[in-house]
Amino acid sequence: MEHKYNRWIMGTAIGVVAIAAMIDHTRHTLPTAQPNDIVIIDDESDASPCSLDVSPCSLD
Amino acid sequence: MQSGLSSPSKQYAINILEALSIFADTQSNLVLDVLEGQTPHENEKFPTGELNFAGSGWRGFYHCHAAADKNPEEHGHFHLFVCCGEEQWTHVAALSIDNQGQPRSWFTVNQWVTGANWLSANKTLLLLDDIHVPAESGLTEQFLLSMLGLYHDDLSELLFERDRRLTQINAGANMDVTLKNRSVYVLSSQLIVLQERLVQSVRT
Repeated sequence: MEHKYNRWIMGTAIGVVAIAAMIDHTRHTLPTAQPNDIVIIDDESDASPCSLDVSPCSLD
Repeated sequence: MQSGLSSPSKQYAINILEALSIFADTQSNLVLDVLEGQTPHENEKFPTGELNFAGSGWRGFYHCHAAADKNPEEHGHFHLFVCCGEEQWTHVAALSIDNQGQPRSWFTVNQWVTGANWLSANKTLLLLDDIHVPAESGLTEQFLLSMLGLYHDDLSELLFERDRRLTQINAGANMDVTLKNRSVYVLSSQLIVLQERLVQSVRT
């Protein structure tokens, strides 16, 4: 795929307008997070809500 | 990714611009990239299988908190952790993202929020020097690692401010209790104007 902005990056004269245009083209309204319907039985009241560890919110 | 540029900041800025250019061409952004077409649910972590930054010693994920618990200007945030020993991780900072998929602020949190190992600002900063962006990194990983590099000095300030706040709140009491105090959540934050920073950095 040819990326039209790459020319601006690779060139020596990337400017404010080019950067602003690039950022503007990445503005997209994000989907609203839906309420979580899953009922979590929290038998670990000390669980960290943003942890990497095994937890109701974990990636593991 | 670029190399051999005149300053680390410039190189990180170019890496970010490179990722932005591809996001722009593909009508995507940081968050749409990790959502992979899925509708997020509150507290659900993205991407599936997490960000591992090509095994470069970083991990991370994106998630959204319940609407009642978050700033309405924020859609969600990336939590970023750095390796601090064998299978040991410490939280560095979170990158807040607005409803248009743009970085809006950095912030640090209390230990109970992320639950990982707790290191002082000084020790954490030793792990932030010379952030390497592996060629195998995904676009979002490239963007985030480069953001950590580009905002190194700001993150340094944020981490020291985090520790100062904790010390103030602790007021000589047991720090372990303060680190688990659920009334203490965000400890320091800084708004981001990425466009300005990129312009400044590519001109250096």
